[in-house]
Amino acid sequence: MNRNSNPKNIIKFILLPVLFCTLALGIAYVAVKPIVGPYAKVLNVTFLSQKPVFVNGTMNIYQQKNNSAGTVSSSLLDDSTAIPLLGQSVGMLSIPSVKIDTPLLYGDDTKSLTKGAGIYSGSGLPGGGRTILVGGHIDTVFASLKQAKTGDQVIIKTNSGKYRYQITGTKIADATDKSAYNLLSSQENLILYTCERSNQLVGLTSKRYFVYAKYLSSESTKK
Amino acid sequence: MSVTSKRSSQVISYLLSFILCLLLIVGSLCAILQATVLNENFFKQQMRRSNYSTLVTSLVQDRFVSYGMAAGFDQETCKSLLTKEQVEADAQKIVQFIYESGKGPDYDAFQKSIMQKLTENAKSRGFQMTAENTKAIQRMAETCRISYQQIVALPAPFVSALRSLVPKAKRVLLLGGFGALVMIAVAVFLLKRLHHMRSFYRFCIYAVSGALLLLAGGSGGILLSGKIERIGIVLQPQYKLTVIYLHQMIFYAFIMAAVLAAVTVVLAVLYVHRCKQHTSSADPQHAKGVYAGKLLK
Repeated sequence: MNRNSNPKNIIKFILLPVLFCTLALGIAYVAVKPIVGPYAKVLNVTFLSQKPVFVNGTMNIYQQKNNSAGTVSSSLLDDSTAIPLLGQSVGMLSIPSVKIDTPLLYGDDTKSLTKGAGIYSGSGLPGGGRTILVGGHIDTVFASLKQAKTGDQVIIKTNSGKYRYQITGTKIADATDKSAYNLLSSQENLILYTCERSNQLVGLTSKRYFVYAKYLSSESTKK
Repeated sequence: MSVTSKRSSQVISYLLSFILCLLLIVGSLCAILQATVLNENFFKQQMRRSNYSTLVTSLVQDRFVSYGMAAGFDQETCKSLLTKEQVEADAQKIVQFIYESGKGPDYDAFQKSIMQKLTENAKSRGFQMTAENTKAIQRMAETCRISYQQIVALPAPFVSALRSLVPKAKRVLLLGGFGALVMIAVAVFLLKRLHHMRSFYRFCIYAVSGALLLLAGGSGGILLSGKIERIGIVLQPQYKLTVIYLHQMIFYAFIMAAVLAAVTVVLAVLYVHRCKQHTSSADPQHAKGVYAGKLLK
C-alpha cells in the first residue's frame, strides 16, 4: 500500500494541524492575556445584543420594538414599558391660543429639535401617567411660547389619542436648575421649556423658560 | 538507526513541527500588526474608507444648526462654522498625535474663529455688542467647540492606549518578527537534518496547516460571530471607523492565511511527488525495514 494513501497518514494530516492549532491557541491565550488584558480594561469595550441603529448620527440606546424612525404606532404608545426610538415622531403638539402647532418627536437631542418639539427621553409619554418634559427652540417652534397664559390649553395628538392639558403657570430658571421640573411625579403633567432670550440678545443663554400644564382629559382614537 | 532512536527522532520532529507552527503564527501576527495597528497610513486609509470626515461634518453641522435655532443664528451661518476640509485636517492631526507624538487639533483656535464669525454676523444684523451679547456668543462658541471636540476626537482611553502601545509595540514586533524568521529557518533546518525530503515535507505541512487553521479559523470565527458589528460605540463616525478598521484587520489575516494555504499546497504537491517517486523507485535506501540505508533491527 502506498504510504501516501495510508489512512493513518491521512488522519495525521487532519488531526495534527487541529492539535497544533488548539495548543497554539491555548499558549497564545496564556501568553497574550496579561499584555492585552489591561488595554482591554482601559478601553472598556462592550458588545450589544444586536447591531446598533443610528438616528441622527448617534446610537439609539432604546432599541425596542419599532426599528424605524417613522411614527410611533398606537400599540407602542399603549404599552407603558415600550420606548420609541430617538427622533421618532410621536404626534403633534399645539397651543391654539398662541398659534403653536408643531411636530412632536421623541428625544430632545439637537437634531430632533431642528424638526419640531422634542420629548426628553428620560421623561414620560402622553397617556403614560408621568411628567412629560418637552423642549423646543425659541427661534422656531416655541417662538410664541412666552405669550401663552395660565388657563390656556395644550393639545397633544398621537396615533393612540388626543390628550389635553391646561397651563397652570410659568417660571424662568437656570438651565442647570433641576428643581424646575419633577420627573418622578406620580401624576401625568406636561412641562414645556425653551431658551429665555430677549429680542435684543443674540447667542446662547443659561436661562430657560418653563410652562407647566396639568392633565385634563384624553380621547382615544383607536377603534 | 535503532527503533528507540527513530522514536526519539519522531518525537523531536513533532515538537519541531509544533514549534514551527507557533513561529509561523507569531511571524504572521507580527506582519499583520505591522501592516495595520502600527501603520499610520492604514489608520488614515480607514478614516477615508469610513467617510469619517463627512459623517463628522454632517453630525457637527446639525448640532450647530440646532444651537443656532436657540441662539438667533440662521442655518447657513451655523453650517459655515465648520467645513469638511477642516475636519479632514483635524482628523489627520489626531492620527499624527497618536503615531508621531505631534500636536492634536487646536480647539482653542477653532473656538476663537467661531466667536469671530458669530460676532461679525451679529454686528452685520445690527446687534450691539453689549457685555451680555458677548457673553451669550461666547457661550455659543464654547458649546460649538465642545460638540466638535466630542465628535471629531477619538475616545481618550483609545488614544491614550495606542499612544503608549505603539512605540513599545513597534520595537517588540520588529524584534519579534525578525526573531521568528531566524527561528523558523533554524526549525526548518533541523527538520531537514532529521529526515529525508518526504518526511520533511510532511512535518512542514503539519506546521503550516496548523498555523493556517488558527489564522483562518480565528479570523472567520470573529467575523461570523458578528461581534464587530455589535460593538457599543455611541457616535456613528467612530462606530463606522472602528467596524471598517477591524474588518480590514481581519482581511489582512485572511491574506496571510491565503499565503500559508498556498505554501501548504506547494508542500503537499512536493510531498505527493516524492511519494510517487518513492513507490516507483526500488531505492534500497527507502525499502521497508530500512532507515537511512541501514536495516532496522
